[in-house]
Amino acid sequence: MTKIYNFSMVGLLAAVYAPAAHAYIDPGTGALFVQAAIGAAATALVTLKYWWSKAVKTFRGLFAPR
Amino acid sequence: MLGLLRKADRDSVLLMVGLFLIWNWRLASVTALNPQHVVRGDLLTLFAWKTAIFVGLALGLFVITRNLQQTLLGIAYAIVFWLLGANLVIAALSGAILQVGLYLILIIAAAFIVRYVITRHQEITSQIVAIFGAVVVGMQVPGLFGVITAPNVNAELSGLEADLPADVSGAQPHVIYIVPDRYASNANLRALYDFSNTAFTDELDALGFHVWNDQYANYPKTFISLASTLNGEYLDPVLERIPETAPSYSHLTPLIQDFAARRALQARGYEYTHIGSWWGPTKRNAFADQNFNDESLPFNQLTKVYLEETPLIFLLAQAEAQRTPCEIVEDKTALIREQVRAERPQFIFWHAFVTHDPYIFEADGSCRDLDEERYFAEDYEARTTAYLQHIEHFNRITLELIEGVLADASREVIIVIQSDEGPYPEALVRAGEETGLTDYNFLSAAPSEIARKQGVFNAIYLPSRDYAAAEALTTPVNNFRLIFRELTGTPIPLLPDRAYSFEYEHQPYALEEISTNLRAEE
Repeated sequence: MTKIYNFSMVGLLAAVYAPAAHAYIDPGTGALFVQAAIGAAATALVTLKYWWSKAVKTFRGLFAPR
Repeated sequence: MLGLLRKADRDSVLLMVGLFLIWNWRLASVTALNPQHVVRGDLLTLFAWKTAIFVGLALGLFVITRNLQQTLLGIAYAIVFWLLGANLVIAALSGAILQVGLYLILIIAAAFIVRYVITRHQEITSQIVAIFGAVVVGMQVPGLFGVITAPNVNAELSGLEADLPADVSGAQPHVIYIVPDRYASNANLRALYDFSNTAFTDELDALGFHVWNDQYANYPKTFISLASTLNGEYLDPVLERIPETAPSYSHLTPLIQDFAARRALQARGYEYTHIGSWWGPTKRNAFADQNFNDESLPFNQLTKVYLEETPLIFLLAQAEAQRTPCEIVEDKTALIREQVRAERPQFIFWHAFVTHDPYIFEADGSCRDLDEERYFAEDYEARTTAYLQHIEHFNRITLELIEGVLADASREVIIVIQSDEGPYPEALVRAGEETGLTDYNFLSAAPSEIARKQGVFNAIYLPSRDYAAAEALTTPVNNFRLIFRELTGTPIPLLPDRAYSFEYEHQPYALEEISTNLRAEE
């Protein structure tokens, strides 16, 4: 398990590595990850609502008169 | 509108909108993070290109598949590759087989997930993608707003030309203007780093230069300092038209491109050779007769930084592989030596980044491994050592250049070596200067830090060796006025010495005069 974790972390670090730019403009790779996390949190709420309504529908279906 | 569509179509439109937002997410993020460096025209051009590619891809896929879901799937695959493919290309270019495999697995796994969610759960996937896209792009709106709504400023200064005699005849020595970016004043090199620069300045003295020991830049950063010196006057008439809250440095780029000294020299028959850098405003000059810079590809800074994190990085890698940045410095000095042999009077401007990071040379002047250079951003002491080594290296190549120029030139030569700004104060570097905007307060900083940022190197060589008017000057605003005094033989008025600074880098036009503070430091 530890090996898998280490391998994943190396992969993740390599994935966020970006080459040095000779420019003042900050590519903001780190900021993208923060933004992605915020975006993911917002979409998680929508997903929860979707699955919740599906679950409720299924639950009601079980007890609905045939 | 959406209500008129069938549910399946509505999901597809929602998914398309979401994918378009995610397609532009990184561009929006880079712009919002760097409002001071991103030029509105560059942003809109890149956005137009990206939109055209997106629309072209969508139409092309739809024509081929005749199926909207397949089209959306194709676009999603393209975005996955666009976002994750840069590292695959970097790994492939460097021959790292293991990493190539890793990134391939990552991309293929992402593609499988995308395929699964779009084909099996399109309804919820459309909502998730659209909301995610809206959230991540929506977060950039405040930053984007500042760049997109930046006012159009008619930035032009002609005070220097107004002070010149109408008669354009007169002496026509070659004029070489070298700007070693962030080269500290002699006084600061001694006070801050215990570094003696006398070997260099004694040589310059012996060659007939006048070297100022402790001059201050009129303005604290390159974009604003160069705009002033190249036009031979203060920027008040232009600054009046720029809101103090404007973040973009690009309002002054026209003053660096179409500057008064260039116009006056070209009007006198000079041929203008512009030797640029990787920095946008001086990368190339639209009015030069000849340009030479670090990169063979015509990308602006925004496009370059953007492409560096896409699979198209291989284009940049190929363009830069021809000559390393430090080899290009040799090409630049060789070009200057070649130009001064020409019969026609030459005006040569060189924005020399030798003394500016990234620190690309080893102590002996050989090329440094750029991966190693990345280290200096984190280590202030190593960075300082590298900076001083680069000062020494610049001194070596400049002395060799000047001796060659004075020996080979077809006519008399005027030479100026003037830095535009000093090195960054330690507190600012540690606050994250490398990553752009910081809350470092320039006005409430210790006087020694202000003096360090604005203390600049300045030296001039005039064929007449008449430096009587030059000796008392304490800022470089009059450099071109001294040059035109020599050219025209008339006492063109010299401006009083003044220095200004802003409080924060993100409000670079909210300037205050700090001449008194700098004199107090002396």
